[in-house]
Amino acid sequence: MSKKASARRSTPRPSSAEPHRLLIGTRKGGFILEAGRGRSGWKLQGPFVLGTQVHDLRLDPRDGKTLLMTGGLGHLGPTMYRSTNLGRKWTEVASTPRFDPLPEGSKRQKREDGTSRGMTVKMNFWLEPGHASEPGVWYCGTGPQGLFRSEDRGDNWAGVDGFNLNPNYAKWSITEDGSPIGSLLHSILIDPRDAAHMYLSMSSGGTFESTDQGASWRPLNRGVQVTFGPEEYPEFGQDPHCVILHPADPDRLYQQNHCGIYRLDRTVGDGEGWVRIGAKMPKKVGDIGFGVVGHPTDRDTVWVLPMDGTQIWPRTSPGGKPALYRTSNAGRSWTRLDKGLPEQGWHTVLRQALTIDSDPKSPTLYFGTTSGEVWIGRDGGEKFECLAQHLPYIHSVRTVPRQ
Amino acid sequence: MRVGSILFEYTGGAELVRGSGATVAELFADLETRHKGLAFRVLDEQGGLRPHIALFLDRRACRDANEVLDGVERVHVLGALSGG
Repeated sequence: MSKKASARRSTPRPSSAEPHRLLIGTRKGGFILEAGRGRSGWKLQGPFVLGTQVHDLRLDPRDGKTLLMTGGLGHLGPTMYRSTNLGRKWTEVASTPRFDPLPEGSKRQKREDGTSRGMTVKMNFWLEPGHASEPGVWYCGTGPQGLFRSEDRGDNWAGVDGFNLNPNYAKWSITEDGSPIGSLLHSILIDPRDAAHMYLSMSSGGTFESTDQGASWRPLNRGVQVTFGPEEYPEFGQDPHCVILHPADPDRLYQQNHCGIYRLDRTVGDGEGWVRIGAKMPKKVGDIGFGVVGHPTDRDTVWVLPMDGTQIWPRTSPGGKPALYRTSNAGRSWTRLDKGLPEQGWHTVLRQALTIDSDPKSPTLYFGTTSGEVWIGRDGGEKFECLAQHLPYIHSVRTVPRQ
Repeated sequence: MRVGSILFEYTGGAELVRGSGATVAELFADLETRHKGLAFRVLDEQGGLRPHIALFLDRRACRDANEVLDGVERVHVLGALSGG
């Protein structure tokens, strides 16, 4: 794969004097929690566009002021809103992601030509700012699975044909009706060294890689287990819940999957084999969950938030005892972190609702719950405090990267 | 056309808007020229009526945007009672 050094992203320069912002997407609108020095005195702004279902809310790290927020009501179709003044005013964008139609007069049903033609976008699910060298470019992953690109800061969107119109699309994406909210495309990852090198993941479908900015794609799932299909280690069809490029090493990926926690080192061996590092989690806890986040400067350190995957998948923490787990040695061992968290809590933390800020001296974790609470884990999760309660069902919590 | 309150954002707060067309789809295409964004909230990119929108041609329920509006005086576009 080509890695253009000239496109290297600038190194984040965190400053404790800057405000800390959490961008929160909920079932009833968007919110921002903002704090000053020491991450104290948090103040809540919002709701933004009350009543709209926000699956993702992100700030453009390249201009530091454009916020994009997905939306949609139960009755109306999916949409998206934009603010250019940090949330004071929101405007619906001009057009949102749409699948192509079937050719006029076609007697085929949708997906029968192998592509996404004829399908309907039901949800704008995942927003990803483009590469630092491409200001104005954003990507959106949808439900059912589609990849879309904007070149005007999110105002207009076009399908990435190399994926949506790929003749393997229907085969790779398995189904458009996965559980529980439909199939999703998420974890759109862009190599900070090369705008053309991308990854995406699908629930269901697995993880895929492109080295030509989305013109072509190939599966990247070797070693990732499937327990819900006839073949245990297929080429594709896995269920990654969240995949990250580690902030400290873009040649290392971590994955929280429906079937465990994995690590992939692109520079080891042929760079294609995932290793199940969740096998070292305590047996009573298991290694099922939604989110995974990486330390800003230590490639061996990641955190996960396990959930009960033993029998009927209630999507709560095992035993209703919320906790995060951290590894500091790339998955050889794990440490439980639950100081300050409730002894009993029956919420879910969704894949976009676990995050970390980029301060290398004191990386701070945040997560939002389906019961409307936002928690902070100071000093890498050594101690948790509740920052907000009584918010709607939380879909996403995003920090603001600093450049 | 009479729209439910969930669409007032696209009609400037008006419950009644005027439009014309031989079919439901043509009516929405005509309305879209004056009420930008309205059509896509009701009809998806393949021309299908969104699942939780209730559409009535006068008193008759309609689920097909290709239906002809011959003789129809009022189209009602409402949020369906889909539970909750």
